[in-house]
Amino acid sequence: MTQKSKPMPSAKTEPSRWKLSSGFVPIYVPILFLIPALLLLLSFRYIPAVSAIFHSFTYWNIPEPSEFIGLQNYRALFDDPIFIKSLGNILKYMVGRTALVLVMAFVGAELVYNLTSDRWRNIWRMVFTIPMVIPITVNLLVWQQVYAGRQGMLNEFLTGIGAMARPYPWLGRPDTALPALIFIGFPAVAGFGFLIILAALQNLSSEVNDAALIDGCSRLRRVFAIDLPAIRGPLALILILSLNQGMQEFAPMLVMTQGGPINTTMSPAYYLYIQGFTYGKHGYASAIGAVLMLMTLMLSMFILRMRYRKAYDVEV
Amino acid sequence: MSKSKAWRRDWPLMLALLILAIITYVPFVFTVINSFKINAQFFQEFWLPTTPLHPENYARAWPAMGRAILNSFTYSIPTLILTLVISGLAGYAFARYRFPGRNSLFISILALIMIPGILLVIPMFSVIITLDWDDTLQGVVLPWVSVEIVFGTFLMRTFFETLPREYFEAARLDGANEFSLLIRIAVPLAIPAFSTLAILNLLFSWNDIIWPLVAIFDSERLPVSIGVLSFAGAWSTDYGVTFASYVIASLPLIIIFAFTSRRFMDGLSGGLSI
Repeated sequence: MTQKSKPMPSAKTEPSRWKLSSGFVPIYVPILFLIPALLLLLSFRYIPAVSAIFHSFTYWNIPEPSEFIGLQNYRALFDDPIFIKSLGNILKYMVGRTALVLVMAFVGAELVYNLTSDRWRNIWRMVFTIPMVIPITVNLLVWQQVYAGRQGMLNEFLTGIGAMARPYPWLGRPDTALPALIFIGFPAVAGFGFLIILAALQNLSSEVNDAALIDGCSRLRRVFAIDLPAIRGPLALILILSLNQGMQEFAPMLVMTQGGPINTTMSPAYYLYIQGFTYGKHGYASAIGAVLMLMTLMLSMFILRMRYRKAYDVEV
Repeated sequence: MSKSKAWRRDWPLMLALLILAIITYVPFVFTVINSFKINAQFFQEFWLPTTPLHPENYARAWPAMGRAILNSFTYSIPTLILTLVISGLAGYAFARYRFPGRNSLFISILALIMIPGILLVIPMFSVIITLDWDDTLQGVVLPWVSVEIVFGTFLMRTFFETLPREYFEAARLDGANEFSLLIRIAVPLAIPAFSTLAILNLLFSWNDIIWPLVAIFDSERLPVSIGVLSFAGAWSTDYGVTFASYVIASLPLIIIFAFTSRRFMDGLSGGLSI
């Protein structure tokens, strides 16, 4: 991630102007500045990461000492029907949710971007930002009320307009529970994706757009032929963030379904939580985490490769 | 372009946006409306407001939710301050000084973004149990800060690199030491970047569920994100009070947003890309 679109992460694009031409500072100065960050990262990120991998090979019930058991956790894990089911669930959830969020954020941003009036553009941007400050838990609880079988908004609406004869417990049935979680916050315009895409669109030069319009390019065609390729970077960022978040999704399951009905909304992250903190099987839970990490890494690498394969960023 | 012409061009877009906005807001408006009803009114009239209003729902929800909000601030404010200070220092060091191992160190910090937070929850839980930090302020705050300084360091480094070095050289010639260069020159210029980081940080710490769920056992100390959940569970049969608790839980960030909306939105959009 870098500010604006640059072909590579900023670690390599080092302007020479940062050389200290007017003298040297003792090495302890930068080290002093870095010490607080490094201490925290060491104790709460690096060591725990190594510890998690190590303990995935142990039987561990905190605070008792762990006991090395080799690959036993992993063997049990891939024989565990609930875990296997959770992998399938999260795949569907991740893909469905990302598609919804990405498409709707893009649609919303394009609608706002194409307005003629600056004032209205700002108003709509505000309208779709406010929902982002509502606490996630509250949002989930409100949406639980949307889907509720009794006194649920969706049911009252659908039976009210005569589209359905009887109310339906959307979260309580195996066939609708997971789709219901995917559609939380529908139409899912309001979010980081919307703001990031809109900002990217507004950074595009208006000359290209004007030229395209003069050449007889319709607005709709411009959206796909010019806007979409030009904001590839921000789109890839949202894609990675959304897929990664989807892969580790935990809160909707915890708040709304507890993984049910019959594990149709069980996610690996929520299963990790249950195994670790309900059953005290911290070694087994660590193995779930390790598998989850491997999947996340592979996914991120894959997207980054796709992004930089034969793709050149052109300043427009 | 004349106003009427602009309107003729824009009305389909405005209509589409209006529909999207209505669907987005209906559940929340419904929640606010029904937070003023008692159950009998709610069962009788589902969508519309009814009289008399019952603001006492809010009085019922307030003791528990007020405490949760206070707790959230107790955790979020130290997290915010520490994150800004530590990320600022680290980002500045990476941007301004060249020292052996600088790039590999930076990349190894950045790599932490890829590690799923949930994987680290178990070993971190073991750490705070060992230190006897469960139910303590530092037990919540320090792990949160450690999550946030990864992106924070990255953001602040990117920003500090855009500052022209002439500013620093001039001050150096005037005899300013390294620390006062940071405080007097870099920090004031970096206010926009700091506010972006502050906003993201606040949203994160206000919303995180998993870590407080693991690190806090005492229900009196739960932050809003979990407090509202347990309150809703306990009061689930009283719709009005439950909805009132949702509204109370949402108010602090909405109020903060109302005072900082411009900065807030700019901070969240900031032209991010990869």
